[in-house]
Amino acid sequence: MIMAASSEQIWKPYYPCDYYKQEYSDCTTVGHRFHSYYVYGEKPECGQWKKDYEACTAWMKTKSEEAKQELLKVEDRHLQQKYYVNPVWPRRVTPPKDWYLPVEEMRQKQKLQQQS
Amino acid sequence: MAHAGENHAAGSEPSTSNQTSASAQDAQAEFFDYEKSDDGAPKREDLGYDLFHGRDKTYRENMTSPYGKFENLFDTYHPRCKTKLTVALKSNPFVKLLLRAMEESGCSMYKDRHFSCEPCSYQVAGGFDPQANQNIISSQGMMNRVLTHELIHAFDHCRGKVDWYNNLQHVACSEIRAANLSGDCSFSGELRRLQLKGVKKHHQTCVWQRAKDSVKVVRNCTDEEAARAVDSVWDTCFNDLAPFHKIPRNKKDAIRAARFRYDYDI
Repeated sequence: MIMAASSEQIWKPYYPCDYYKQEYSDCTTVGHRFHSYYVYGEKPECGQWKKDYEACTAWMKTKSEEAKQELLKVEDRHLQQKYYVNPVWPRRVTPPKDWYLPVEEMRQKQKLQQQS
Repeated sequence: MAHAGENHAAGSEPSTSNQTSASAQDAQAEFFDYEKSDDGAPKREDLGYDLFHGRDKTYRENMTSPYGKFENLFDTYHPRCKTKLTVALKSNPFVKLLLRAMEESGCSMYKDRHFSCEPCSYQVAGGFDPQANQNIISSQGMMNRVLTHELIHAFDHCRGKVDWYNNLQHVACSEIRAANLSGDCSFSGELRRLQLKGVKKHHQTCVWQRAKDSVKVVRNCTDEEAARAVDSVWDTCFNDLAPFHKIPRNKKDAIRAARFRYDYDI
C-alpha cells in the first residue's frame, strides 16, 4: 500500500465530477430549454458544463499539473458565483442584533419606540 | 435585458392572489439611505402594519369563533396554517435550502419564534416583519411558495443591512430577488392565472411587475416611484441568485443548488 509522506498535501477537487455531469444533463433536457426561453428568451449554453466535466475527468484520469490548473480555474468560477455579494446594500458582518430576542421583548421595544 | 416598459394591466388580482410583500416600510420618494434614527419614527399605519391586522392581538382575540366563521372553511383556519408550515419546514427543499443559507449567515430560524400564522388583509399573502424578525403567513394556499418568498426577504435582512424603512431601492432589490427565485413567476403559475401575454422572456416581465406591485402596496408610494426604484436596481438584483446557482424551476433545481452549496446537507 502506497502511503503519502506526511508532509505532502493531497489536493482534491472541491466538487466531485458528477456535479458538472448532473448539471449538464439537466441543461440539455427539454424542460430546461423551455425554461431558459421563458426566462432569458434564448437557448441555454450547455457547452460550458460539458467542458467543466471534461476538465474534471481529465484530472481524475491523468492527475497532471495542467489538468489541475484547468480544474482550479473552473472551480474558481463556480466559487466566485457562490460567494458573490450584492452591491446594492452594505453587507452585515454579524446577524441583526435583535434576531433572537423573544417576541414580547420586541413588542415592548416597538411600543417604547412609538411613544418616544 | 428585461421588457421593463411593458405594462400589463396591473389589474385587480383576486383575493386569493399570492402577492406577497415585505412588510413595514416608509412612504418616502427618495432613494438615498441614511442611518435609521429613532426620533421621527414613522407611524405604524404608514409602515404597512395595517395590512397585517392580526399582529397586535393575541390568538384568542383573533379566533373569535373557530366554528361559525365562513373563512375557516378555507385555508385561513389557523391550525391548518400551522400544519402546513411544519410540513413545509421539514420537507420542501426550497425552504430548507434557505433556512440552511441563513444558518450559515448566523441567523437560525425557529418555528415558534420566527414564524407566525395570523389573519392578514386580502391584498397580501404574507410578509416579513424586520422589526420583530418574523415571517407572517396569512394561511392561504401555496404555503411553500409564500414561505420561500418571505424567507428570501429574511435572508437578505440577515446578510445585508437592508433599509426596509427608508430606501426604496433596497426594498425593490429584495422584491425582485424574491419574485425571481421563489417560483412566483413560474410558467405553470402564470398559465393558471391567465397572465401569459407571451412566452419569450415573460418571466422577467412578471418579476418586474410583481416587484413593482409589492413595493407599491407595502411602501404606499406611487406607481412611477416604484417603477423607477425597480428599474434602477434591476440588473444587479435580477442576477443575484444567492443561495441558488441558477433560477430554479422545480424542486430538483433546489436540491442541486443545495448540493452545490452544502453537499446535500439541508
